[in-house]
Amino acid sequence: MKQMLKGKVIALLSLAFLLIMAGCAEENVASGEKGESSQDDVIKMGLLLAETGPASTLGASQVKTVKLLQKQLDEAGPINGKTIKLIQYDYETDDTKAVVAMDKLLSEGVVAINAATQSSTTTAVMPKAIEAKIPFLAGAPIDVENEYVYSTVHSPRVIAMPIVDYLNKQGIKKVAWLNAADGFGVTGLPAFKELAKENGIEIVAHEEFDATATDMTIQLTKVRSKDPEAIIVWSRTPGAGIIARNFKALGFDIPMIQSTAAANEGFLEQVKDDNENIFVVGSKLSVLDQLPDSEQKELLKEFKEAYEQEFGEEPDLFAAHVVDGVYAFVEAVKAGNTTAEEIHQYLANDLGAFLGVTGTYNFSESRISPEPDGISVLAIENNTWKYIE
Amino acid sequence: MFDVQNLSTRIGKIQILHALDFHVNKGEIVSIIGANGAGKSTLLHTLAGIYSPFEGKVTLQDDTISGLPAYKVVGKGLRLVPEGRQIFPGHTVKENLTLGIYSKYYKDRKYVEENLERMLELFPGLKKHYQNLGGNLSGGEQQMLAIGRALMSDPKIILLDEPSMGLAPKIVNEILEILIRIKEEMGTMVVLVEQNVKAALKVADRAYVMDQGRFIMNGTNKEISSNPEVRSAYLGIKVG
Amino acid sequence: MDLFLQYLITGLTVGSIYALLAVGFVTIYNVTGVLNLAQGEFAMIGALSCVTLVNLGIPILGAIPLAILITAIIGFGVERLAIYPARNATPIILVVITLGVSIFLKGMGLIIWGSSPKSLPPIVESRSIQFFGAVINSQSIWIFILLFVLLILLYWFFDKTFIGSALRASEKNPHAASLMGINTSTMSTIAFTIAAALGAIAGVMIAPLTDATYEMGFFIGIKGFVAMIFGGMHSVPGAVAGGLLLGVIEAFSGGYISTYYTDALAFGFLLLVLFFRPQGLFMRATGERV
Repeated sequence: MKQMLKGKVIALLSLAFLLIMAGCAEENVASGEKGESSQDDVIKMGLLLAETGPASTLGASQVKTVKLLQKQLDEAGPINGKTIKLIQYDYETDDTKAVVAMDKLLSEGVVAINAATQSSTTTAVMPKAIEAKIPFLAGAPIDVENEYVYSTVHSPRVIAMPIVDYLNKQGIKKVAWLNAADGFGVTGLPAFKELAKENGIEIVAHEEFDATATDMTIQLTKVRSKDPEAIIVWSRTPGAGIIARNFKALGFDIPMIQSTAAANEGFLEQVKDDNENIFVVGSKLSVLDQLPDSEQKELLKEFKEAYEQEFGEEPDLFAAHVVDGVYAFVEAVKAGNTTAEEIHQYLANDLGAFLGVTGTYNFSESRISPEPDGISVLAIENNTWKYIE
Repeated sequence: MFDVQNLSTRIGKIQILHALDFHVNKGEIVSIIGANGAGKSTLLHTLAGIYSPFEGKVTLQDDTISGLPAYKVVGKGLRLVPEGRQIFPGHTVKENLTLGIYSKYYKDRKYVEENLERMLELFPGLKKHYQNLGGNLSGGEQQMLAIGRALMSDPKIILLDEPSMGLAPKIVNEILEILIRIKEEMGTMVVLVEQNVKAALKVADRAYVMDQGRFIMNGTNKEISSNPEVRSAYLGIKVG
Repeated sequence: MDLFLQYLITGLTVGSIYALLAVGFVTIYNVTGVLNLAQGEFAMIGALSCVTLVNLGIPILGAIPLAILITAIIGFGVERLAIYPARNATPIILVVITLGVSIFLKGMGLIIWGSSPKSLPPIVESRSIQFFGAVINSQSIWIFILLFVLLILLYWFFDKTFIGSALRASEKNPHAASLMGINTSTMSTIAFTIAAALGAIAGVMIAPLTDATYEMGFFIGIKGFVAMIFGGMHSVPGAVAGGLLLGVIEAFSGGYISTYYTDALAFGFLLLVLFFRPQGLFMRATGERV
């Protein structure tokens, strides 16, 4: 019997070890206060973000941004006698939980929604907002057009624009396209194809791979035989990093251009010390100090400094989406709109063009995407992002 | 001395063994005979620790072994040679024998070598198959191997479950002779369970007759062999 | 023929990763009859623990054995907490339990280490090597060597040592094994602990090539499992051959046919094997059947 007991003790200890490690990981702080002053004095915006779960690497900065914005709103005081409350729920990278959280938000009387961190989640919760006729600021790329839906995110077509600009500048006419065979990976090519055609660029090869596969040498070898002048990759990490490493190992001397999904620290880690010829479409926030002076630079700087001061780290493109969504909402409230319908009408007709952190918006002209002026093809130097003209 | 008192075993909801009492003295071969389904196998499995009795007590030379799991019973000095031999077909004869001493292996390598030698001497037919896979042996050879494997750990008592099953009479006799050698040369107590009553009564000192989980008769070899009921029911000898 | 050689080398490289996982699968299956769907997660834990240890300042040569030890302890814990209590259940239920363990470990991996890929330095500085027009990574060569060493080690362990013999007997016939005095539940624990260590070794060798993430276990786990089926479920050398074969099939079908259908083709091949040679492609004369 003693033998069995010893076994169980060791087993429980190893389980405890795992749990302690987990506890040391970042704490999940639930935000969102409920039930204070009466409906009339408070205007609520609901947000659904991935604070925990796999997408938390994208959502973490968004959650922090909400905290920062709420703080700024509180400090600024009520607008026309109304207090703005940002109510954020963590959907734990689970689309089902997101839908449940969405119901909760709607029942609390929010007059605008900003969601979500991921495309699949955004698509899942959007119908409820549309049904309730609540303006929905989409926080991830989606493929739907609806009068109530306003995208704060660049569409794949707009992300492809800086890439095409770069190709034109370099005089490149033949490219190979490689993408991950998942929800995100397949959105790139259809958008790029159109632009390529308009610009006389030929797609000489197209291969796919699993985003979690261990090696993409086969795909790269195949496209090499078609003699492309550049390779474009549309994939999240770790696949984005692995294919980049395979690319370098195979000794390609043409440029590789990656999508915004590679515009993060994780990718930089993966291609550390061997990243010549690798380019990524990223937010101008990452290369702020390298930008020429402009109104946009000032705006970005303001946000970046406020964020850094509050949290001790840099904000990223995902944070930018939240900022722009909330900004549009606040503008609507400032103009005296308090109900969902009023806000919706204002956004659609009266807001006009405004400069956001993500880029320039004009919802009256297009609700699908801001303009590409907030992103750019970035090079990598000294293991950090480099702005190229 | 091996003593069983009031032993009862249930399998599922059905009671198979009913308050069995028997004992084996040092230097004895005791046979348990009975028809198919009498519960003989269940009895051996209970003694070996595969099944747990819900009532009763089993003692082996002052050690209570009832309630212990099978692998611990082995360490106490009781070995079961199961029905169908159950040698490991993918292991060689040498590996099979060596596994037989698992409970004592690490104590003394020399001891293992000595016992291996002894088994080969006891079962010379195994010598030529020493490095051969167990699965390649004939039925009789496998039975020898199974018995040898059980003897490797120098047990105080060895139980055999129908060793004659499926074997030619010549081989059965060889096995019976070995049982006698075990009793006389090694001093090991032997419990022999058999449907083949003739074979069982050839070597037993005492015998118990089992029917539907109960002992209906017991006595010396002579008493049981000459009992008219036994003779008609189990030996097919018409009386009268 | 340039392409052919590259495809072959890449296929063998990727295949050796699958083979490393397959070896762990076979070990557990051989001793307990359980299909451990959490085997890939053992690799993940090994790799990520090693990353953490290296980041704490422990040199790589010390971090690797420590990471293997940590994973082995977790394997021990898994067997005691999840498998042992269910030891009398049917094989299907046990497989489902290991699936649950896999999900749990993957979730823990995410909580502890987050979702961005972590790099692990190789023991020896890795470089790309040119080989008759094809490229191979030096780390891949080390993986080959390791496979070979593991093959020998495991063969020696299971065939030549006493405890290996007892482990084999325990799987073949637990009933008879317990009559030898073998505690079959201890055997099961040993098997899981060894398999966890093997998984960790795989993870630590693979991570320098692919980076470690909480989700790395799933992909290589599935492939390792398929490799085991190719190789005949019971055979360690078969599993290695199966892994290499799978890698090569993927490489050639991707290279010469289409990368869109690589998975479909590999699974098609698996179905063929299951239909026509369910005992595995590489039969061994051990007198044992699957």
